[in-house]
Amino acid sequence: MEEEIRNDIKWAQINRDVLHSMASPRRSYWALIGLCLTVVAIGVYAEIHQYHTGMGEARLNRPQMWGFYIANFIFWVGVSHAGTLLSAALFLTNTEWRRPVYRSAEAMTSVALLTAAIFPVIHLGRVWDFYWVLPYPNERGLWPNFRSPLLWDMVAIFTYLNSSMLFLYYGMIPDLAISRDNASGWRRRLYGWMALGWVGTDRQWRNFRKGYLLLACFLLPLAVSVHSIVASDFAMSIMPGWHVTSLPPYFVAGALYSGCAAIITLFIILRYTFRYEEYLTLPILDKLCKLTFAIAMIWVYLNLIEFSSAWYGHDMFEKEVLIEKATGPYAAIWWTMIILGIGLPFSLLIKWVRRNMRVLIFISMLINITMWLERWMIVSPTLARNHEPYSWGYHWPGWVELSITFASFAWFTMLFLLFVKIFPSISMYEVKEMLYHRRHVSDRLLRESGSDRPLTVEK
Amino acid sequence: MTIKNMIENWAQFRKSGQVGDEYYDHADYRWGMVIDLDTCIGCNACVTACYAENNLPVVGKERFGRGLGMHWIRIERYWQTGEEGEKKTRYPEQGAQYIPMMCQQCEQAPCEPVCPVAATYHTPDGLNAQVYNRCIGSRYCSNNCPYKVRYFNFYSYSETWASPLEQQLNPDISVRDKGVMEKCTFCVQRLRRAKNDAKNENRLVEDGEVQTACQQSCPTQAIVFGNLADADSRVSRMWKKHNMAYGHREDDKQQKTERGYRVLEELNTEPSVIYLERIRDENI
Amino acid sequence: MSFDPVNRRTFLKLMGVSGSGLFLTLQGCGNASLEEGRETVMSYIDPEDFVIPGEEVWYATTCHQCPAACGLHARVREGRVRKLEGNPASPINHGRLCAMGQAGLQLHYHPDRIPQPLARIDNRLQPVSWDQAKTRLHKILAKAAENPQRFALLSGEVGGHLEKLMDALVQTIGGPSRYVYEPLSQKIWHSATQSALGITSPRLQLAQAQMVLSFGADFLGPWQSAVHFAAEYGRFRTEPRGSLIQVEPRMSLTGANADWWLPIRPQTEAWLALGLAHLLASENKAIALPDAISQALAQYDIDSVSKITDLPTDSIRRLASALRTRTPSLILAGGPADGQVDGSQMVLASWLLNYLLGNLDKTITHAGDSPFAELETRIGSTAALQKLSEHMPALDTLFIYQSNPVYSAPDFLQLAAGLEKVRNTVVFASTLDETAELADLVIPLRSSLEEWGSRVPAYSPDQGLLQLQQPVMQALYPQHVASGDLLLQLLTQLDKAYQQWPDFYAYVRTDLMKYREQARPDKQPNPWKLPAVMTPPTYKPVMLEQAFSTDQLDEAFWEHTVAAGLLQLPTQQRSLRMQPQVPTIKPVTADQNFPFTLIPFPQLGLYDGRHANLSWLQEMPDQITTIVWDSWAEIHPETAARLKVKTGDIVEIRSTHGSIKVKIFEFNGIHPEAVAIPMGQGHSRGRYAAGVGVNPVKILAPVFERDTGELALYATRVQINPTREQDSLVKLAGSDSQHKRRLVRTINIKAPDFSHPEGSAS
Repeated sequence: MEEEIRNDIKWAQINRDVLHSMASPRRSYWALIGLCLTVVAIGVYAEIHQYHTGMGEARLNRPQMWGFYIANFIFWVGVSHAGTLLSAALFLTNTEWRRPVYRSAEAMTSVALLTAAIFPVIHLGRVWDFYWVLPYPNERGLWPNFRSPLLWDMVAIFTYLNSSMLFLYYGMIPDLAISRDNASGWRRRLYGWMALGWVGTDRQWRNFRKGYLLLACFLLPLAVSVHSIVASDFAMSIMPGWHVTSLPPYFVAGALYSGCAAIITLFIILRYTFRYEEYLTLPILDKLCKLTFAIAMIWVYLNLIEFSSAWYGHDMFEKEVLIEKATGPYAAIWWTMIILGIGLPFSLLIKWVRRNMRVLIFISMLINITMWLERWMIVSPTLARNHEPYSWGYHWPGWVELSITFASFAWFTMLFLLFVKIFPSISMYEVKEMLYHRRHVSDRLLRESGSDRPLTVEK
Repeated sequence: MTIKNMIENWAQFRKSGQVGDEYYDHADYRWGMVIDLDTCIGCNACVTACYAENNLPVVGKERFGRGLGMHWIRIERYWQTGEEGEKKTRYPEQGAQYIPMMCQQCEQAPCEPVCPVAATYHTPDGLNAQVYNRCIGSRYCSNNCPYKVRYFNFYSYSETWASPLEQQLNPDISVRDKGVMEKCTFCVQRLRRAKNDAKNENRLVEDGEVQTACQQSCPTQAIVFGNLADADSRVSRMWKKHNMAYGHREDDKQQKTERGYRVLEELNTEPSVIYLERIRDENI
Repeated sequence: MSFDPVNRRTFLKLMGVSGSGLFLTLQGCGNASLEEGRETVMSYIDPEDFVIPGEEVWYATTCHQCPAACGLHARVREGRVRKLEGNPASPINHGRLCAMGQAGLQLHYHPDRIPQPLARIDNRLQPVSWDQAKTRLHKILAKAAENPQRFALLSGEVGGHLEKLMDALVQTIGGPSRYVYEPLSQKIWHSATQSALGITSPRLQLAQAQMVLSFGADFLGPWQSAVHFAAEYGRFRTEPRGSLIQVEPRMSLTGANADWWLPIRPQTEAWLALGLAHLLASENKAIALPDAISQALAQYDIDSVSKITDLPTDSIRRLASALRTRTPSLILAGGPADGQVDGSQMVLASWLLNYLLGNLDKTITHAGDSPFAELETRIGSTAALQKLSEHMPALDTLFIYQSNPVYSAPDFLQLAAGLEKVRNTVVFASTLDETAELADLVIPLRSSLEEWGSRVPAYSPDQGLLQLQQPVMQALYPQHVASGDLLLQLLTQLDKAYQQWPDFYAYVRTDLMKYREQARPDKQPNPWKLPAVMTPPTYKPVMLEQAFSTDQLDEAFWEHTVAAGLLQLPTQQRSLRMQPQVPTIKPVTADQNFPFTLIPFPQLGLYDGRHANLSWLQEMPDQITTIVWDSWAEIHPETAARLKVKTGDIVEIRSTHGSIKVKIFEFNGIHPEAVAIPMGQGHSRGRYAAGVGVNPVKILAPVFERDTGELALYATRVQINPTREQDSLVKLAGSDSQHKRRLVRTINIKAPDFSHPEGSAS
């Protein structure tokens, strides 16, 4: 079997490589940060304009009350899912190859959620009153409406954001201690404070592992529930094409699908910008691709379920929406989404593709665009073809929506890049564990086969 | 704010405004409407009356074209287009099909449960109320409204009342600013006034004492509005005559002369507005 | 509330006194930020009825948005009129009000209203003071009086006491020339009806008819009296349900509500009417027609009528048999049917049909002889404008009162050019429209909600009706002189006899007092809101003593009449007599270069264009196409296919007298040989109207009705030339089809003895 990480890599080397990434990335890193800042600035300008002029600037209308912002929201919540899947689910199943990847995946989760959480807020007609959704104490005894899926959403997203950030931070503690020991200045103070006095005693390790397991167990069902709740924004409505029971699993599958693709993209970018060729290796990428394919197939299956239940359900409205998607003004986008979404994962079956990073980064980004379109195609066609023929109308984005959408991508990238610059983006201790574990196994195998090579353990 | 308060509130949220709910038991009023499509001529008098009564802004051609028109009541006009099995003729020999569409004041309103801040709720007299001050503009209610009769202030329209046009504004209701959802209220300010007047005189509002703006303007008197809780009111008698009641289904019809129906009845929204079927004489 | 004003007034005065006491106290303490005389507070001292905060007051008055003259109840809050409703006591509109009436508010509060008089100085209209304007006006008038032949007055339909004063002015000057111009004139109908029945305006009782056959008369739309006929229609459909058949080249609002709508080749309606008359006369021997008529009718046999009208013989037979079986019926003609060279003959043919079907005295009755002979509204005409344009080169002075002929007249009259040559053009207008722009002196008018007035509606089910108009609030521009007062001032200049009336209010009041004895007792004004009465500040008993006696009966009569908003006198109804006349119609010779007939149709909304500057009506979707803020040309999809154009394509519509560019709208409800463009758009003035759409009236050819000389509005032949341009039309309808939704459900009635299941409305 091909090894994910070279066996002979020194532990000190691991520390050096990872800590080095926090010090001096390639110049392209700063170029990217600069680009992101510019795009975010344009987005902020667009938002200020929209705030000042009114939501009409988002080219929304009646019946298209929701548009790009909600599509973005679902998309970013979706992206956040793969991180949890990679770290928690694969941790629980003892999958070894997750170890070098999971830190960046978890970071992606938190950053994606931070991006997602913006959208329900800027989508509001009265942004300045967004906190009314919170059940905070007030002298009028006013409560939010607990029956509204939007409220569940708010609760779910906040829980998920908190838990995933906690998970990220918790799993980082031993690495923060390493960073503390190797840093100076503000970094030393920051890491020292965040490492919570970690020295690596047995007791600390024992408690740490218990806690980590507990968090992983908690987070996995939470992740599934979060996107189910986001799906219930739609499924709980009475709109044709939304009011579908298969929507929650469909959302979860779609989320994991786009999340995996996002991880592949970030994987390749990280590997290049931080010179992580030793850790983010091709065999891991290969496995990621296979995982993506498997999840994509679930998504395809759920798509088919949705279409067939619309088709055979004989609900006139439901059927109309399906026909509208396939033949209406959105048909080009919808077919692009369907064809790419179903076709692209099959390219991952080819080994050459899985090993070719230029092709892969292209495919993974294409998958993400496809999945973004899928979100748009969930929101708009249903509203376009609602129960009331007189109100039928379409939504095409204006510059405000487009700017804010692009800004969200830039914002996400920027936050992620900042994270990997400040914190160790590869789990040093887990990679060491991985090597240690593997060497033990290989040594045992060697001994059993009668070899006299000595045990090699280095400090 | 106490936990008790919260639990009580919670209990109220669980209620879904069921037909026959005790929430309404003690209400003296339950406003309802009948619109006769055989006498509605689609002349738009009601639409303009609503603009005048409810401080509706004129949005202009460009915004109207984008679907931002703010007409709480609109006359929908359909043709027999020959699509999907309808009879196709060279000319529309049976004329147009008009239907005034406004908030149906549903008993099981899809807009109510989805509002995150409970800005839209059901009043005990059967109105689907919208609290402008509470609305944060999530627009979920409009998405979930099958009749698409909720109108969102995508812009601040106050400048559309070029001076001195603003002096016409009805002082009984507010001018809504950007970011707020609004819709037909059954002219709640008129209902309010009538109820207060009646209360001062220690009586109930009489049938015909209060009219909605659309009803009052309607040249053919196609719109009948009144109190369904009063069995003798004109609107009650018409509901009865056409075998309409909350929970009524199309299958419950007994005879052909019962022309009452609800729009999109299959969605079980239980509107308080019923329509009477249009008639065309094919015997000429 | 006006009926016991004393008690409440006294109470409020007391309140005011204590209030001002409190106010002084506060000022003493330095708490009040009000500086003396620099700010206005709502004073409770002797408040007027209409400014009590939080209290709504209702005043009865009359709508001036179209010639129908519906009764109004105006809702006033805090001294501002907020809403107009129909006056339930008015037999015209029974408490109902159309969209145009509702929009009267916007005219009143219009931002384009002229705040002060304008005079042409250095060839530019410049604001001048009222004093200057009046001096100038009196000077012009003095000059005009010297040479009466060179003076003329043009107005729309005015009616009532204002009409009386206007006539008096023209007579006092001595000129022959008072022109009453109404773009949507009913002159043809009135004159033909006069010749058939001996009265101009019989009562049309739709509600009594089992069937209504209308040749183009859009009675639910802007034909004669929209709200009145819509109310009649409401009853026509309910007790028991009558059937409506509409025959017209382009579907009107009435056509859209017909049980059966028949597209007829434009300009051939009279053939169908006479063909039906022939069918009915030859089969029904009960009503004998003079031989001359029977012989004349013989040429309208079903086959040639079918060929000319482009209606299948089967349809014509079905029509005839429906008319035979469903009596009483009502046959109407109007719009595109009477706006033809043979328009009068068409109306006569409709009366002939009514006569043959025995509808007289059943669905068509005598409406009584008007007791207000001298107050009757003069029916406007388009012929008047034609005459004026001929007269214009000989004019020195032209007064134009509330009329916008420069916009609404066809180009061939070259009115604007003529107007420029008149030395003194005085325009009385509320906004600076196309006509006012060319004036030498513009006198701003008060809105109809700020003036006293009266009106005898042109169509009234009861000729004993006088609609009263009272100001419902103080003038927005208090300096503006009310039309009546201004006319009185001008008259006083010429004839001192008019000095006896201090103002127009006194004039109207004195005049109406003479009807006191005949007035019908108690007309209950409004069952749920008692209207109030506006008393002008000029009304001081001392002053009035000289003018008329003010005994208490007078006072009560007056208060009651003004509160009711109308005065009804008993009239004698006679039975109708009709002398059938020999129909003479000539076929229209079609010019192959101009294959289409232009139908410039008015809508219930912008009307003839006078409401184009009201944003509510601009944003009100057209009832048929649901288009807003635009002009369009309706053509049948077959025509569109033949011309290779589609909805949204811009075409040039060319007549012999001009061309316009307009967007195509494909529409099934129009005859393939017709092209219909709505009236009312194409203004160059007005913040909401300018630059929107085109004015189809501009390209009308000089074709006139034979008997009356009226402009034949629907007789212009045009060609359609595609251009390569395109534009989008903004319309409300997202879909024309219900897509199986069954939102509007229709019962198709087949049983012959079907009666309306609703029975009487309650």
